[in-house]
Amino acid sequence: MTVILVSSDNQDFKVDKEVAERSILIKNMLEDVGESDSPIPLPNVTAAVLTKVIEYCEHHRNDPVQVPEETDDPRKRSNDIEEWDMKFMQVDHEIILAANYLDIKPLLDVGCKTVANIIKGKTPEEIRKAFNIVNDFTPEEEAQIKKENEWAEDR
Amino acid sequence: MAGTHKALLKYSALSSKRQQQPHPGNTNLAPTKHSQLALSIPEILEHILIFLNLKDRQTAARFVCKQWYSICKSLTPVPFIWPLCLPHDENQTARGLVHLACNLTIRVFQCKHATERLNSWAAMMRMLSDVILERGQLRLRTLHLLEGVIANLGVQLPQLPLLPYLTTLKVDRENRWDIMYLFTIFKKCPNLEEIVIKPTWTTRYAGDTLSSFMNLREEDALVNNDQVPMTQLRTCILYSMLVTIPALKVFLETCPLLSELILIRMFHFNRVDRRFIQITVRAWTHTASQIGMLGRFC
Repeated sequence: MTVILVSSDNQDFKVDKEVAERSILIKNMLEDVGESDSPIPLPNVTAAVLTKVIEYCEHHRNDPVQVPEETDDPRKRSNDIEEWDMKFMQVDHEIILAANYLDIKPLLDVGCKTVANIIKGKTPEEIRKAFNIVNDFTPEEEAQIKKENEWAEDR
Repeated sequence: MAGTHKALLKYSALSSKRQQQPHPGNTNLAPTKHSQLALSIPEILEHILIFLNLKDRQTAARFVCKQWYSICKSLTPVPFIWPLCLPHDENQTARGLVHLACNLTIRVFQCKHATERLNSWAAMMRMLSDVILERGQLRLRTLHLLEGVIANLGVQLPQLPLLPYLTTLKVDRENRWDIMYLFTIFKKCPNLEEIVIKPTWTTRYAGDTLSSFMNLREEDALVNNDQVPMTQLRTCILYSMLVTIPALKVFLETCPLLSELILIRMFHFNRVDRRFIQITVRAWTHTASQIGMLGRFC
């Protein structure tokens, strides 16, 4: 059985239901609507991104569906990304947005790990530069945080 | 499916372009509006920052901007056990790091010589005051004072700051404790769920030493004072304590939800002549009936 997904720029994508249901959002939608041939509009996802997302879901179609973790392990490591996923993620943050919107947890994880890897080992200034973030701390506030943080400075 | 095909082509072109770059981790990603958008959504940012290690979060990420700071801060109290060993020369970094832990085990090294023991004990008290008094923001949940030479901890307890997050307190003490110390602890740790006071394994060599104790008047004053109820306390395990029946009664009344109370090798304490006797089975029947009665009362 296939479903039709419609991207924000009005392109149709024919996808196996099984593949589409890797997205919890779509899964829920299909359950709500019931048996129906009507296409599913995804107004927050462009065709380009949707293509990638579908590619991901196709690749991982046989993975066991993740059970929601009871206790999130805070010591999550970001260095366990599959090679295929790694190449795949060299694309864009748009994928993360789409994964968040479509509720595809494993894809969101891979995306976030990838960004975390970019942040790793960078100075605050380098991070700001990499992501175009404005430093909104006053010098006094910055000094205050430094003080909270004294232990971590390399002495 | 022509559209899909076109899009796929477009993407494979894009991917191959990206692959020419040396390493994804080291490339300066061109800031795109999407990266900003993704990072400006708090739950996505949090999800990303979770994957950083503690050091990256504390030394870099929290300095980026206010939003990052507040998320890092919310992620900070790391729920893992941080056993801390204090050798004679204290480890500066370990002391610094420790305020991040919410579960803290402080172990003081055992030493044979009295002076070294005293140093070791002093080190622990410095540690405690450092961590708890000066960094009052500490969200300590579990505190385990282990093995050390903490003979006089009872005396120090009133100096403890309020630890509202503390749910588990374990103390391995060397000398017998007066049950009245519990009330001092309760005052400082109002949300305790579990308390375990037991002797260190070396205690058997220490003989029947007695840590400082209260006189009758002090006990009366404490017992007659209104105690703040310990509404969270469920488990209480006490070894070799000096108990008096009035104190035990107040203790039980203070803890309405107590579901597990284990008293091992308790001593009846006569405050007037300062003698204590080990509670025998016969004496226990008396105490046990008291507990039974109070249990119903609670």
